[in-house]
Amino acid sequence: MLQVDLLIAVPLLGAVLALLAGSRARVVALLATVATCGVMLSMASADIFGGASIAGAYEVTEFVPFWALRLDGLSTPLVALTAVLGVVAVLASWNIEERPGPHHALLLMLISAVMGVFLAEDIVLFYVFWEAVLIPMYFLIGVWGHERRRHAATKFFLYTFAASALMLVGILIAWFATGTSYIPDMAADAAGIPSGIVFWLIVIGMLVKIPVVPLHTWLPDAHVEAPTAGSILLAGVLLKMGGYGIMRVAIPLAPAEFVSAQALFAVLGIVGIVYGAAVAFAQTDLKRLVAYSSVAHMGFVVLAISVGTAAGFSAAMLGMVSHGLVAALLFLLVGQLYDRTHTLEIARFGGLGKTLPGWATALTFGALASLGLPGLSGFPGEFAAMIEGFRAFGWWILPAGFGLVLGAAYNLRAVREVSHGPINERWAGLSDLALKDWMPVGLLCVAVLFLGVWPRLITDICEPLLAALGALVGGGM
Amino acid sequence: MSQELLVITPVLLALGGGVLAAIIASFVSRPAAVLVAAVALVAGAGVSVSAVYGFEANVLAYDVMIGGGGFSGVAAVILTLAAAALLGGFAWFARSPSGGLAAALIALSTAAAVALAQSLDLVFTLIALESLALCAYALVAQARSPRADEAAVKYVIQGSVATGLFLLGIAILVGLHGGGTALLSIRSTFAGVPSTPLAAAMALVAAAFAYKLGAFPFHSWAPDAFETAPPSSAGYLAAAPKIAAVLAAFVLSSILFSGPEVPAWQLSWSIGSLPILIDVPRISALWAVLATGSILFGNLAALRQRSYGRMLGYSGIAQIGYALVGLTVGERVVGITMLLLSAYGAAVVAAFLAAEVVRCTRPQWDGTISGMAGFGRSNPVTGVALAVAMFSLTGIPLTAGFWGKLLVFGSAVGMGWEWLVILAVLGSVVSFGYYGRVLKTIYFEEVPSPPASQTGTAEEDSAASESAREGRAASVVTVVLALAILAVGIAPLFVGIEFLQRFFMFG
Repeated sequence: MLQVDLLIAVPLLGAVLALLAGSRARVVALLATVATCGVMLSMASADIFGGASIAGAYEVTEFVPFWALRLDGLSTPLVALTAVLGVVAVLASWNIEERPGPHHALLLMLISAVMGVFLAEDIVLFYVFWEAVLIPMYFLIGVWGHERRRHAATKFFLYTFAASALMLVGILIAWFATGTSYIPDMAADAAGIPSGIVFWLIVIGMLVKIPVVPLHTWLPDAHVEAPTAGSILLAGVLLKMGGYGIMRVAIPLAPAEFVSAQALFAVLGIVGIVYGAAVAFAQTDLKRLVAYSSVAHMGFVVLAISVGTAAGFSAAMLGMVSHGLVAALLFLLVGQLYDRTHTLEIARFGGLGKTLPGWATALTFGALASLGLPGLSGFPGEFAAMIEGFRAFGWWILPAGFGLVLGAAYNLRAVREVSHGPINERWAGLSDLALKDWMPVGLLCVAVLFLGVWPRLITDICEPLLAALGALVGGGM
Repeated sequence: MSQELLVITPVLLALGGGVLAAIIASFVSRPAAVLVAAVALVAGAGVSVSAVYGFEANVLAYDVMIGGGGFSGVAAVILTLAAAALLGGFAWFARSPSGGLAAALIALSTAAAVALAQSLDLVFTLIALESLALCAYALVAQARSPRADEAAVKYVIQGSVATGLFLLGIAILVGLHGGGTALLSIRSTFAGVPSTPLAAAMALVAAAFAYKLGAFPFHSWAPDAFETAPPSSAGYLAAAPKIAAVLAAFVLSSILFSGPEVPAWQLSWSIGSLPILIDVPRISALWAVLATGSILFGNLAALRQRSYGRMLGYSGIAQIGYALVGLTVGERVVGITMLLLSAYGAAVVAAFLAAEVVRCTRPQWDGTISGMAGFGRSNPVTGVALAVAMFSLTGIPLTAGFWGKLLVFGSAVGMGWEWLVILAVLGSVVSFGYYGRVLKTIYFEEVPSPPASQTGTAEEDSAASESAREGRAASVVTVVLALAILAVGIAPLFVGIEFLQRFFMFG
């Protein structure tokens, strides 16, 4: 039964060891993240597919009011995503030279805290981890980031801290209204919660994290200035905290309020899809392009959630896992390019398909996954989001379709301008991906392909819980 | 030991330690004086801790003090923080010509603070408040610079006004009652007294406490005092007296000024032809106004500060604002408000002692935040401890400051003060603007390279390393405080908050 706690404890222990290990921190970090994956896999034998869940070592008792963890259908996909991206992030920062010990320690602390967010079954514990995520990320961006890192780190912290502070007020109101901080008990007593104020206070914290337009302005700065491992985890798992939080906390605590907010959510989702894609199309910096594409992809997640059916939630979950993998792949590739060229201005590249054939192939693969090519992981989630959205909102979601086309446009433009075209001689001598570069890239590509072919891996796990969630909000409009 | 004795022993220990330290400092040696004072304080803290678990919070000592339970818990916190400031500033106290006296003053004023926190008699409160203030003036003046003198004079003058207000308030209360000064007996005679004098007494007492706490708009002495006093003394002043004064304010406001027997104060006037009637400005409303002002002003003013000490001074106004949220909610939350203040006290002492380390390792430091650039890299261990203190002051989870704010704000929400909590929470967000600037400066910025002219001679190098050695005590105490902040921040996740509440149980 201790296994679930290990998902938090192993990375945390790794963080302590990495701090002590000095120059060998990366080995410690790799071992810790692989061990976390192992813990995750060891739990696959449990019947999570059948709707079972694994509780943490402590259940809520009179003496242990806050430490309650549970791995269930809703958290499993995201916990697995976090475990995999943890390995990728460590491999992506394998060659970091500036103070590797603290860097890897912070990385592991971040993974540990994110695991806590996904596993917490108590709202105070949830909030503690939610905020704890900020601390390592703040230092990762601020110390190891690029030129404007100080500004980006502070903006990231203040922005998300402001949102989560409002969320805290909502949590406090719900806590004192129900007299318990155990989420299932609170949800059971949801009628006693002043739902309007609680829902909106909590949801604001989530929407900033996702982020939806117009609450997204922290994202481009943070993503662009963060070091590669930071960007991978930021886009890969931190954004998912928002979508997960809506499904795990906000909807169960105030289902009626969610029903009245569905249309607004749909609008926010569609605005995000179109705005993110349009702005991504206009970017001249490759990393900024990937950052804005996150806004568009998370827009599909919000759209899918807004439908309020089991199928919609399941599309959102699929979209989150897929975006986690694809965004991590793209940020990884962008980081690898930056390591070689120290610039990411799209106009300065060209013909990299010749000079860096392996890298360019991987980029093309990532771009295709990002634009939603059938057979890759981006397709099932966004396709299902469109279908469910159409069912619920009819032709109103037409702009989202336009956003899909724009998505294809900016992804293909990036591939064309970077990989094809005339060769810029300046980059002629670059070395292509080495084996250690290929390991994380290959891992992500396999996962993207696998999920594209077999999305049921995710949807089957969450099915039972999401059906219950859909029933809670009346299954639609 | 009898219960009565157990309640007053910590005060006597601190008092005795202070007197002894003054004598030893004059005739034997300064380091010995500092040690004696610190040992006395630690012993007092130990006795208080035993009283926390030994007795409920209803042990009366000679009808002027109340002890046991949470009262002794607060006493233990005050004594511990004072000892931490003394030990952390050991090098400064031992070296500075007036350091021995400063150590004695800290011990004496700690005795006054403990007495204030446990007082149940108006005259005793007045005496404790005044002794505390006198020691504080002297401590501020210790730095012996014109600016320190100015700050101390400002402090004295404003403090005298506060004393005057308090005295006037007491006079009204005692007059209403007909002679007695014991709080409980005054309380019993309130039914039927005219409401206007009672309201006036309430306003006077609240204003006097607002002065002592440094709450807006009675705050202007605080930033000057914290900027000019030596860091360890400033840390003491920012923590111990405020904790004591808040508890005393709780006792006064809950015994004298709340409950259905206390008549409400009705105001009526008119703007033009529009009649306006304001009902029940109970003491809660007063505290709420002070809280609002302190949170808004403290946070916004702290944002503008470049000096580290002034930043902590202004941010202390905001922190008192959070404690005033607790006072607004009322006596039910006295325990968790004391938890909030204890967390603040530990963090602010750690923050000032970290400044002491900066002062020792960088003799040229001008006291500004930007002068701390790269401190987290040059002193990694103290740097992490300082970061913990900053996070705790902001109220980020995994630190003690989080639980204080969570519980106080949570109770306020439960009692219908949502707007005040939203303000306080947003204030905490703003506070990261300045606490975060410290983090940014010590971690994200490079250590300034010393000018070429200053590097070189072996003499200077050895002076620098000796100075750095002096910072070692401050460093150790900072780390210990940071560990305590983390332990209190993390343990409740596993064992609940009862063990903290047990320490601050007020019946």
